This record gives sequence, C-alpha cells and structure tokens, in this order.
Amino acid sequence: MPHENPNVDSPHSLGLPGAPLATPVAALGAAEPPRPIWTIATPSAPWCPDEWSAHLDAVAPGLVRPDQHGALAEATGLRAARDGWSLLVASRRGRLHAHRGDHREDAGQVLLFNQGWCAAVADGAGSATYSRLGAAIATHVATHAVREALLHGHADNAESALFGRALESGATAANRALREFATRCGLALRDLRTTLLVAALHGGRMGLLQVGDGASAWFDADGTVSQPLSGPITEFSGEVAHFLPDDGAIEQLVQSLVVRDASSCAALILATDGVEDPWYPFTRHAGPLYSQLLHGVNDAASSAGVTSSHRAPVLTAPDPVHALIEWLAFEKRGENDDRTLCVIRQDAVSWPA
Amino acid sequence: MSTRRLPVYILADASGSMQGTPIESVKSGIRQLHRDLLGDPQAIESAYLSVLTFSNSAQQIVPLTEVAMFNPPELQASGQTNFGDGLRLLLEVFERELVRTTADQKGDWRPLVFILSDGAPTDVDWPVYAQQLRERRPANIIAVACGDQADVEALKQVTEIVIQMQDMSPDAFKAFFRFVSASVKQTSAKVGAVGDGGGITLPPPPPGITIVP
Repeated sequence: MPHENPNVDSPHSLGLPGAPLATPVAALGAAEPPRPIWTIATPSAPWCPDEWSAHLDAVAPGLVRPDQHGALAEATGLRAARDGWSLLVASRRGRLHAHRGDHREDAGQVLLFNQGWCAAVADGAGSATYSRLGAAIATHVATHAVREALLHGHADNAESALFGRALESGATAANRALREFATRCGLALRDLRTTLLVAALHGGRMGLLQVGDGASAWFDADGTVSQPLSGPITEFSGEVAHFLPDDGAIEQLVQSLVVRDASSCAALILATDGVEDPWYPFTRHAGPLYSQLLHGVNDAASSAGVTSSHRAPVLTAPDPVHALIEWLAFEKRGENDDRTLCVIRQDAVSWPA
Repeated sequence: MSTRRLPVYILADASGSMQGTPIESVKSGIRQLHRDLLGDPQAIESAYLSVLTFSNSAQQIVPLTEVAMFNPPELQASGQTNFGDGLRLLLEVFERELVRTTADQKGDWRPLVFILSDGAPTDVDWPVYAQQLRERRPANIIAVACGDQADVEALKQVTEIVIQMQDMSPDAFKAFFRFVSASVKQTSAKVGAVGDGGGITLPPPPPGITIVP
C-alpha cells in the first residue's frame, strides 16, 4: 500500500514462515479419529508472472505488490489520518489459502487527499486463476481515479451529482484497467474476477459503490448502525451474481451509488465476505464487531459465534495495524476465507455503543 | 450461528446388476472418500455426507452428517432400477435438509451430488424428476455412467455433467472416489458466479474416466 501522504504510517507486512509442512495430525484420544490441523505454506507460483509486470505497471502505476517486501506477505495493513478522519485497513490471508499454499485473493486500499479520502476493499473470485491481480488492480485504480476526479475539477462542494460522478469515474476506471490488463496478458476476463466495494469522502459528503458480496456498516452519532449497501442475497453461500470485469458488472456497480451527508457519521466499515460471513447478518452483528475493535473482547464468544484470540482494543492500540491484523485471525468453524476490513472514523463524532 | 455446510450426496444404483464386486467397490469407495476428507481440515469443518440408494425404491441410508461423525454404511444390491424414485428422493431431501441463505442466516454452499448408475431406468416416472432437477438446479450434479451398459442419455436428462467409467473394476471405482474427494475439496474453496454454469470447478477426471460431451 503506497505512501501518499506524510500522515500515512508505513505499511505493515506480516511475513510468516512459509516452508511447506507435512500435514501434522493431532491425536485427540484413543476413541476418536485423529484430526488434521491447519498448516501454512508459501505459494509456489509468483504473485504476478514476470512477463506481466510491465502490463501491471501500465494499468495500475504505483501498485505495491505483496511480494515486493522480500518475503511474501501473509497480511498487510495501512493507517492514515488527516483533516479529522482516521483510516485503518488490513488484509489477511485465510487459513484455507494458507493451508493450500495459495495467494491471498483479497485486497484493500486507502488514500487521503485534501478534504477527503477514498477507500476500497475487494475479494478475488476463488474460481478465477488470477483474481488476486484483479482485486489489487481494482482497489488501486478505483481509489486513485476517484481521488483524481475529486481533486481536479470533477466535483464541487455544492454539486452532489458531480461527487457521484467522481465515484462512478473511479468504478469505470477500475473496470477499464481490468479489461486492459486482460487484453495485454491474453487472459479471459473471468480470470481476473473480483468484487469491489468503494467509499469516498469529499466536501462533507460520503459516497459508496458496491458490486459483488461484502458489506459496509455506517455508525451514526445517534447510536444507530445501518448498512448503506449490501450485496444481493443468493440462494446458497459463496455465489456472486456479478463480478468485475464481467459484462454488466460495471452497470451494477454504478447503479449501486449511495451518497450521504457525512456530518453525523462516527465510523464506516468496509468488509469483504471473509469478514461479513462469520459476522452475518451484518445488520445485527456489525455493532458488536465495532465494539470489539473499540473496547476489546469482553467475553469468550461473541454474539456471532466468533472466537477472538486478540482480545485487546484494536483502534486505540499502540500499533493499530498490527492489532487489526491479529484481530482478523478470529475463529469460526468453517470460516477460513481471506479477510479484509477497513475502518474509517471521524474523530470529532463518537458512536454511543 | 450454524456452520455453513457443503452438502455432498451420493445417490448410488443398488439394483441387481450391482451385486457383488460393483456394490462392494461403492462401499469401499465411500470408506475411502471418508478417510480422505478426514485428512482435510476444511472438509472436516464444512463437508457433510449423505448416502442414498435406488433399486426397487429409493432410500436415504445415511442422512446428511458431518464428516467427523459419518459412518460409512453397509449397502446391498438387488431388484430393479427405479431411477425416478431416486431422483424424487433427492428432491425431497433437498427440501428437508438444505439451509438456504436468508436475510438472517447464511445458508449452505450449493450441494454436490454424485449419481452412480450402471444400467437403464426401469421405471417410467424418471423423466419428470429429471426435468425438475435440470430446470431447478438445486445442486451441482455429476452423473456417473458405470460401465458400458449405463444409460448415458438418461443421465444427460438430469445434468449436463456426465462422466463415464470405462469399466466397473475395483480400481476404476477407487479412482472415481478419489475424484469425488478432490471435487469436494476443490468445491469447498471456490466461489463462482451464479450464472456461470453453476460455478463449479471440477478437477480433471482420472485415467479410465472420461467426460461425456
């Protein structure tokens, strides 16, 4: 995650031992069958094939790759603050990908600029071979394009429609970048499939767009929690109606636009489904989730059936990025996907939990 | 707070032609599948197995059961090939056992179903249920034509994914059930688009098993 602003802390990369391990087995007792346990393996394939590096630089200039810090990053995070807003984002490889030696397919990005910020999270489709690139390109390009549009005359404090168009331009830029990358590399569009959830603030307005699954939650000064957007409900888990850069997805993304007055917003969280699903339904559990981040875990099992080993507060920790990365290691049976969470707070507005 | 499950159904032909080595191989294959899944932590947490059979009528031998609690069943083979009753029962257990996503809870993953048959249906109702399964698509169904006497066209009426075992030797069944195990592990990790042919990504079939075009 690049340095865009002197108020941005250094990005964290959490490298963990990546040597492939034989599958250890934990014996539970003579009467029970042995149960295998989760292992951690380094992906053998490069995050981005060398022959595509130049194309990646062309469509997403400045994109920082997970493997550019020496060791492959198990998790990354970034913190930034400016003009009364604090942003925190972390993305962690899920246990299943770690066990199988697959790359993290989630991505997250935050950018600050004069009087505003832009944040995005994305989840690459598990069935798409290079979805990790899709997610990274989408978040990087969308946030940079929104910033560009908001800073250079595409929006005005008095023009809500122009603010909305700035967000739309970010969405279309992301879609265009994905398609261009696919063309340059000889990939099918489906190979880069990703969800995308974008939020931005400028001139006192906040806007959000979403395609695919994942969730957002708005914490208002009046104590309420609402979901400005949510992905469509499909019959079975894990099925997404629209992915970028599929045909029709950009229209879904643009049509999802929601714009609100940000004055009463205490906090906004953006989450990929690796966080939303264990805390589903988000309308019910986003409040307890945010309370955990604020105040720490005060009982062994949350109302969502999630068990957290990181019990201290995250948002006020001496190192919030590391704390959020550790918090993302919470456990819930069957929930082992990559996890990305972005927490955006307005310092002057509190949420009376 | 329920666990999200990957339901896996095995609907096996238990008609008279499956007597002897074939049904023993199916039993052995299910035991092997169970052992394989016990070695995969994701499968232990999310895969649930059920075994159904059809001969003169259909039975659910083992209801949907988590891998760690599953007991591979004894199976007997005799009688006719009431394929229609097998399909009807499949539709019935889907209604009874599957959990769908709502605003309040996350549902199961789309089920995986493996239908094994070595012959032709002997009932007349099967096309009705086959059509329901094909049109409603309540699961990702893989039909397996066991040997050269299997009615591939009937299986094609149920699902577009039909694979053919060239023979019914124990080794062929062993290879097939390894394919089932790999399919379960792969499906548990992959997300697909709803309108994308079901979103299922299967591993390549092993030697001796071909995909019917």
